[in-house]
Amino acid sequence: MGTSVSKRAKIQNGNGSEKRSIGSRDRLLVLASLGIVVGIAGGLVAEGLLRTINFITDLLYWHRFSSAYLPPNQAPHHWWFLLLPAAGGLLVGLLINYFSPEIKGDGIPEAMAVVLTNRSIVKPRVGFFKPLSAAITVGTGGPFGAEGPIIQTGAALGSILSQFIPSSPSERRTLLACGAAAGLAGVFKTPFAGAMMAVELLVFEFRARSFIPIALASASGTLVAMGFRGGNPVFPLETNYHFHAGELPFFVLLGVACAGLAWLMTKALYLCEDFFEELKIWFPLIPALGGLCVGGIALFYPQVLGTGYAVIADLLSKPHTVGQFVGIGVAKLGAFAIALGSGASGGTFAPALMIGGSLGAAFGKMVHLVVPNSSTVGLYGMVATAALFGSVYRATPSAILFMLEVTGAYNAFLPVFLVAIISDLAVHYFMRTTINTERLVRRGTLVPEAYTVDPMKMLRVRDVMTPDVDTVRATAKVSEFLTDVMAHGSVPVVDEHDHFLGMLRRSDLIAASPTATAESMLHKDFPLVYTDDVVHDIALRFVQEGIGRCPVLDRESGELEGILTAFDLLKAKDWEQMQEMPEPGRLWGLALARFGVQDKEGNLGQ
Amino acid sequence: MQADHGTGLAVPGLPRMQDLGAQPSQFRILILSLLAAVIGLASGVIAWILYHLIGFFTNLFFFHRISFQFTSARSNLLGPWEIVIPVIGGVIVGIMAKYGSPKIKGHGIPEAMEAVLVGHSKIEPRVAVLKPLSAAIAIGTGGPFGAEGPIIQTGGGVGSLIGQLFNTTAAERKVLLACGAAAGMSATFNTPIAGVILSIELLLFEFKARSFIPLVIASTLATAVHWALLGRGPMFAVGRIDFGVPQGLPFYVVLGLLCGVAAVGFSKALYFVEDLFEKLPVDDMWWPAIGAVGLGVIGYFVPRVLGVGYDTIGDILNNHLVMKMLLLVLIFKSLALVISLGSGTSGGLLAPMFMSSAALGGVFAALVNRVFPAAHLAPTGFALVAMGAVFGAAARAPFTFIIFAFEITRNYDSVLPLMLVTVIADAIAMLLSPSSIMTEKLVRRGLHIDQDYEADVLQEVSVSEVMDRNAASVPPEMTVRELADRVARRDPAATAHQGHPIVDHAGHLVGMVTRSDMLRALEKDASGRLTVLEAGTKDPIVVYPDELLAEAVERMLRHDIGRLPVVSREEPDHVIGYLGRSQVMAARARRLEDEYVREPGWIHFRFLP
Repeated sequence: MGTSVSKRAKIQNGNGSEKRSIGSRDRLLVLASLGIVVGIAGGLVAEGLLRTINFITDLLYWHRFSSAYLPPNQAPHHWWFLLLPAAGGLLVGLLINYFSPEIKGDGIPEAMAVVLTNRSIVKPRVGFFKPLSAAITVGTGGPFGAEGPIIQTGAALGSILSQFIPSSPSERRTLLACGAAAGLAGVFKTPFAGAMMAVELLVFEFRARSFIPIALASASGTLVAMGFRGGNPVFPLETNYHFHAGELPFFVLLGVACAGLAWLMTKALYLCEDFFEELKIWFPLIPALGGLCVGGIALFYPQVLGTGYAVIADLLSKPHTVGQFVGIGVAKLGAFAIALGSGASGGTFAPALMIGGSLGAAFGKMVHLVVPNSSTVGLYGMVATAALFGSVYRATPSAILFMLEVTGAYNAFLPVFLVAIISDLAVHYFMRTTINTERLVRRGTLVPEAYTVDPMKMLRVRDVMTPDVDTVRATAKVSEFLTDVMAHGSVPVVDEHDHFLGMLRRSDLIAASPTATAESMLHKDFPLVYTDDVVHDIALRFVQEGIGRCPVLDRESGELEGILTAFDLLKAKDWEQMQEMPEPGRLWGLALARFGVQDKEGNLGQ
Repeated sequence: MQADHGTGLAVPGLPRMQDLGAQPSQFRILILSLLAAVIGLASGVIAWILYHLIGFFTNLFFFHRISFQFTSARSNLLGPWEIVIPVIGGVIVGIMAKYGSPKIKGHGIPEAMEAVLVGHSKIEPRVAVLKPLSAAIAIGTGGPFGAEGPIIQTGGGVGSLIGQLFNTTAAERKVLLACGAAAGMSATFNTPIAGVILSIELLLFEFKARSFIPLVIASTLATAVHWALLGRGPMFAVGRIDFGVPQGLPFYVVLGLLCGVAAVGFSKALYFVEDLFEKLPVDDMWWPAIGAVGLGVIGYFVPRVLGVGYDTIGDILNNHLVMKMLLLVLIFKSLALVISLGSGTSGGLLAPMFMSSAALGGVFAALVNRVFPAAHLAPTGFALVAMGAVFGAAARAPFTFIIFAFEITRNYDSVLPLMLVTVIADAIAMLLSPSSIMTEKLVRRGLHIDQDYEADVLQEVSVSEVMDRNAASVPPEMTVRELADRVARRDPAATAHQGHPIVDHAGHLVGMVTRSDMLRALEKDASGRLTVLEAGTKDPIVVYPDELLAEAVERMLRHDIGRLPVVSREEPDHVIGYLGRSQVMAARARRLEDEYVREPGWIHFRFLP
């Protein structure tokens, strides 16, 4: 890796361009320190946003000046609470309409869009209006979490910080993801999940140069949160899980059910969004209308109001009837889809937790009827939450880590793994997009969902070059070799001892006189490419220097080893696709018919 | 660098898709998940067998009794005779490597990586049998190794073998191999998440849902087997540890720097010793025995270095050892490890490095407490954190070992210091050395190992974004001579691309003519009276504008052509663009600018690089 970095620098200096090369190493320390700064800032922003939300809620629902968390559903009830979410919606609608259209929606898809389409440049105003709008929406009772907005705000912080210094888009992307990770970790005190989530949803790569700053940011964000709110898990849960074989089929069933629920949640959201988009009224009225519906639902189920963290903790740890569980879950689902679809600003995360938690707990209640000594209802809620979260976002690794961290119930990892994975498997079969990517895909942006090693970075030139080359003797005349070499764009010229001299171009040959010697038309300004160069570096040069075809030399002896064309570079992709080729198995008695690298040696280029 | 002269990832002349004539097959996730379940259970059982096999050989060699009880060689009563026992083991392992399979040498993970990268994820059955056997003998005769590297290789072998039973693609076998490895790790240490992430970071070379699902299934089931056979407790009993967050954080940062240096130091020392053995004038069959002499002598004076040493790790993590003992363990365990592993015997790296680095952390905390008595650092906390950090940095798998150390303690307070220290150590190790303890061996063989996973550019860009909309087409009646003249005159329309779509007067695509078609035609008939349609290809392979570049490239490679006309889906004979290799490479380069071009910031700092 080290050699390739220095080589790149050399190449580009030689090219005389302004472009500066960076390897994965020379800016790592700068990014890591900035990651810590962004992490601390993200943690503070998370704390600040949570307090602002609480302040608004306390003021409106409890009529107190305080920033402590007081759940709105437990406040003494008044009929005009019906109007609060609507008022919040109207205010946010005005902000969206007149100040910043980017603040609409959940926050995660917006952050993804910035990374994918805007070279990770976030407008500074987003860093102010997004948390403001989220605080208004959620504070007035919008059925959302603070995490989506915090993720977007953290991302904005990271991006803005990176815009102060000279930075490449990939460096900005790393810092943006740092902010997002710190935001999530700062709300839920989940450093692993914060880092994993940033990797899965935002940086679109899994490599040390971005993982190190992200992990540092996530840890710093958690540290800040622990400083304010102590080190206990956010939704503490005692599970004491014991393995019962009789429960297994129900876990499988729950996994499939969660995949269905994920589908329902995504569809409901986009149905509502499409419906509100059709409405031809003044835009700020739409979120207000959504808010009114939420207020209406809250008359019957006040639990849907606000983040609902207290409700989630309560659902997981205290007994309820099946009816209560289902009622809360369905009401939250409806309120969430309507409010977010109407364009309000808030996170999908906490709603997913509440919907999964309540419906999972209801499922657990019913399992108790069949298998009396099965696990606690809270465990079912937790497991379903992890599965739903994983399937909705298509980020099961994050979901698993998140659930284990946020409940502190590590000993329940077995059912969490099982159900989340089954749900993930099932959701593969009937959903192509996720709640985050649907919006992007509708706009035509392709969202990468798999990260692999680039085969061009693994292969060397000798692996892809064409080793057997037609050469031309320096003394030969055009008429002697014209017909032999016209099939190539350029041909290497060698002396009588087969030493490489230079290249002959076909475009010169077309108009050449038949008696000219090869030597007279020789070009010496060919690019130097060696057999042990990494294909990736050479591919970069092909484009920067406009090379189409060049000789490959041995680094030690300087002898000609082969020819490299742009097509040969693409052959690196073959290596990847070879991996997807079926090979006969031993079971079918075809062991002899195997083919391997050795069998094909030397067959290339003929 | 030596690496520059070996063979590459494949021998020159990579087999090409077109040579094979087969279609790439769909990744079958459901079947793979079922196979993964089988592999998970099998690897769980194998881990259990290996654990007891080590016990068996320890009892046999050091205590001369037949028992499968896992014991420590530390309490043997052999006196000076115990120097001989590792040598016997060394000879046996040497013979097994010579006449069985040389792949059993080493610590397991690089060999599994090699199988994935160059071996089409095929592991021979005899490796899967000889590797655990040789490891059990090496450890049972006092080798200072852990069982995990061998278990990972054996589990990988089981996964690969099960994959080879059926018609599978290399990608599917790779996932099954990784499943076996993850299951082996989880079954040995009772750490399901770390097992999964280990496979992702070190073996898979991809981060995809399709591989994650089988991995989790295998890892979970292997852990369940561990519960059933070995109980639910963690591998090392760990008491309640006070990590001293946040007042200890500054010291954790220092520990991170130290661990990074230690990680690189281990790696360098190991390969230095290996190079020394290379220079020996005796057959490599005898190297393990020679290394074992050194081990035996160290073991005679510091018996704690012998064997797996889970008990010693437990003692360190529970603060049962005094500073002097910690120092002895740190120095002599490291020494014994590099001498014996460098000699090419078979054994895992994880447990011995854990022991040394736990001792390192403990010594560090004790020293700081002497210098700053007010710091009140808990040696146990620092020992645990150092354990994760040194190995995480040495293997370049920080996430795995953060989670691993956490899963061993199951104490959420450990998370913050662990993340901080491991990540800092990893950054230091990355700056100091480009290759890790896992990849160094492969780099020396000429492989170029890249462990950065990124999204494939060609999967992100559609054909319409990069195609040339103004490519010149030629009418079918045009003669080759006419076209050749235009090329010779350097007519920009004719020289922009190597090929031209042939379009008739009604606007229908009828063929493709390339530069080499022209030259072949001129060769046949120098006057060039053939028309371009006669010289070129009729019914050319086409691509649609909404297809991904990856699909277009696959088509180019499959048919061995370098340029495709782009036609609209509605009217498949209406050309709307031209896609050549240079457009594909340019698309790639444009994305790479995200990496390599730095834009000016609002503030200009002089001191930033």
